[in-house]
Amino acid sequence: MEHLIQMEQICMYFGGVHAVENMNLHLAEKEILGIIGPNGSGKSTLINVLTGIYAPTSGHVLFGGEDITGRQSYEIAAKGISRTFQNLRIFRAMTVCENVMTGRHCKVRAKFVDILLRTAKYRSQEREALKKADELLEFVGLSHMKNEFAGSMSYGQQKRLEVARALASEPKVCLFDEPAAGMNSAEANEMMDLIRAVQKDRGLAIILIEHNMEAMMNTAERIIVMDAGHKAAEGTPKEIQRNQKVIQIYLGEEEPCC
Amino acid sequence: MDWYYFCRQLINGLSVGSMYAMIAVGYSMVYSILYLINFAHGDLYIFGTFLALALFNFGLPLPAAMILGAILCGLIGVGIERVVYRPVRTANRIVPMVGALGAAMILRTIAQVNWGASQIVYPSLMKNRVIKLGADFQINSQNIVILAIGIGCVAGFTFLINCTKIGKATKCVMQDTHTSSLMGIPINFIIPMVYLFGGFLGTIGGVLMSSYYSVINIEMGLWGTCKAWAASQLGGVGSFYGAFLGGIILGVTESLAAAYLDSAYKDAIGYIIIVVILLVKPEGLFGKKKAVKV
Amino acid sequence: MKEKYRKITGSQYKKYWVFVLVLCSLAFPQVFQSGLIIRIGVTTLVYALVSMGNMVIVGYCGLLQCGHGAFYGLGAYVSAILATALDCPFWICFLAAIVGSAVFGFLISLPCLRVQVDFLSLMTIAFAQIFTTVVTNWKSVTGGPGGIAAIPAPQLFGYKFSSQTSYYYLVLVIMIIVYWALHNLMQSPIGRAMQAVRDDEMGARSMGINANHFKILAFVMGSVVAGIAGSLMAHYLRYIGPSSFTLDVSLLFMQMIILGGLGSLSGAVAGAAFFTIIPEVIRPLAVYRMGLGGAIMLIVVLLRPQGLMGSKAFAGTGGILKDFKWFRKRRYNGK
Repeated sequence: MEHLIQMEQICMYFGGVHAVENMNLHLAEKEILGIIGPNGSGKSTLINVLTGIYAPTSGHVLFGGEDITGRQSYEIAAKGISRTFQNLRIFRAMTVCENVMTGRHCKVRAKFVDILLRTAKYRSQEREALKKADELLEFVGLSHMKNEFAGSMSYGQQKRLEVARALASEPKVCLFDEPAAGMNSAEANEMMDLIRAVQKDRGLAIILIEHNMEAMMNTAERIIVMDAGHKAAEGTPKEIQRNQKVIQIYLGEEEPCC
Repeated sequence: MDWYYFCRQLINGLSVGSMYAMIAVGYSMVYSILYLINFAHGDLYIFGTFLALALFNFGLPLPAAMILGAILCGLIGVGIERVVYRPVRTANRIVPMVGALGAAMILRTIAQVNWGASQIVYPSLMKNRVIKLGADFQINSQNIVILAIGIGCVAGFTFLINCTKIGKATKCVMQDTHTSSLMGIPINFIIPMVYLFGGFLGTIGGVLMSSYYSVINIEMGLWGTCKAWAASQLGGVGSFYGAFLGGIILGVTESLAAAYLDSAYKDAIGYIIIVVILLVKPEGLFGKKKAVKV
Repeated sequence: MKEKYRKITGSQYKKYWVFVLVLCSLAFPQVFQSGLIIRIGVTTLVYALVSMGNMVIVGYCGLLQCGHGAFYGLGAYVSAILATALDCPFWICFLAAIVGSAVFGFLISLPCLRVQVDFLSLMTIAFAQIFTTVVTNWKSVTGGPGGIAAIPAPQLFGYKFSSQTSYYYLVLVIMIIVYWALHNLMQSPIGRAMQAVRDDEMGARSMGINANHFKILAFVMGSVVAGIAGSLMAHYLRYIGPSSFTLDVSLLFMQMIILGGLGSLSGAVAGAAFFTIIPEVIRPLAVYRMGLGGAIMLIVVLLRPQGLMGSKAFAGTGGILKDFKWFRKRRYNGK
């Protein structure tokens, strides 16, 4: 079967540090794949390899059958993989609406001359982008803040803005890197509802990294557990909860009592 | 190739470089805390040099005038920090640049009103003796003394920053201002201290340089800022040894360029070297690459 | 009162403000018929052009370009050399200045892609200094420290722009066209991409923006505008020399855009007007002029850290007013 994303034998070394070692990963269409693991187990590095921020030391990344290993991140984004960041990377001095419109950058078809002379083609495209931005802000619940500066919003709102911005390019896959980090459980649940809605309403495939176990178990359809750069386990949330190895990683080995 | 000529130029370059270095160290410290391109630095140290001259004319011996002038200049630096930089510290980081230029213009005007706009002859710090080494190889004692003062300043500075409480606090502030303030380090005390040191060392460098060339001119402020900036970036941000070595490299290169190539292109060659070094090592010679967390 | 003030300057009245400003600038040479004042007007417009170019690079793309005077000077020198040595007509000189500064901007932007923000500022200063040194010493082409004199007044479609007023209108028309073009570009996906690169380069790249492409584009656009301004200035003053393009001048452009307000083209114009008009007003003070100018500059920045027209996003916690408020509050509590 053809998978949407396929990562084969990915190794990522930083000098002597083996951040990711021999990882295999596949993602089907409209699937929510969760990646969990302790801090420093290589989850974010894997995502960064996938989106082209790092070029892997060895291995291949296939997207829709096409080899995208080591491509620049803007090329990969244009192909239809968009992402959010663990540490917010919003455009702070731009308005919320502009942020979302910037997310649509790879859909821009107007040429320099079109823009310079404000041709009909460019103007209709701008209207379309504005409409799309309105719709997305409505979707994430930020439409009342449309003209605020992104930097002046609260942390949770900025996280939501990143989701809207990632969706603006109408991607096929969206990667969420700890979208609920630093949120209380109510906010985290709202965020997870949002992510499920992204999959259901928009038919996107999703890779989700999260530390919040409860949220993860309720959201993901399949979970990969990473430990020290390796894949420790893979399966449905139910299987993972019962997996002895996973329990070891998270709770430590039972030491024989003296 | 004439080795004696080369050695003389090298020693000349080393002493010019150590004067650049003293001006650059203060600049580099301020830069690595606030990431502020401090355009007032050059005018500040020139002002301090004028103050030292005024004190000398008042009757003090020049070394004493130099130290007193340096302290006064450091205090002015503290004042500028309080009035000009602190209110806009949280604004976009190039905004304080305008404030710095404004302060520089005020300092320049005060200097101009008091001491005139033209070049002034500067007294020499010590009598120059020619030390003969061999038949036709000689060294000026002035060069040696300047080099020694430069190294002494940096040694003292190293002691201060590594072995005193304030120095250690300064190191923390240089790494992360916000976290240090949370750890109870009084950043509003540390940052003015850094300005004080910057003004102090800059003025000593300025007095040495003016007495070496025996002229001073208020228009030299911007030139001084550029040299300090170049030296500190050349060495790498956040390491004041880097700034020191950057200054020395700049001085040596310029002296050798003036000796062997066209002296009209002296400054340009210095800048070309900087461009080349930055292209090869974009983070400066001794700077560390900042790890970006994604 | 404050509410009313906001309403008048609000965005729905923006069109009327632009209209009023254009009308004022059209009427300007008719009202003030003194040569000196029109001269200030022309200088303001030319400086507004240069700082708009610098604004694209610094204010929109976030590249700390501190050597914009070199682009301005290059345009002026290309235009002047063609006009005097080769007797080219004005429009050829003008186009050559545009092409020359575009090529120069492109070449300089390439090494600048390798370095981070502050190293870039040093690098651009280095380029500006190299430019000044070359211009001063390459006597056979640039005339050395003496510069180039006797540049002819421009002639377009048989009309000679030799009077102050006609030249003012020529520059004004070009300024408005450039402003309009840059305004369109900066409101568009291109401008948004540049601002995204300024705010967060990695975030921008992950949104499908080729950051290097937009950095080069910003440099080329900025240098073209500066080249236009340089050409206009050369033909206006009829004389150019290396002293008009020193580092001080580059820093002056930097001050114009910071004081005008980063990230706004109208700020560039306001900054240019500020830095051309204020020195003329306080000229009678002679020696104290520079100090007073510095003090005025300081006060404006402390009161409005985001600049005259800049957006609040750059203001941080906001200048000296906060200190005053704190002081007043303390006094009030003390009583």
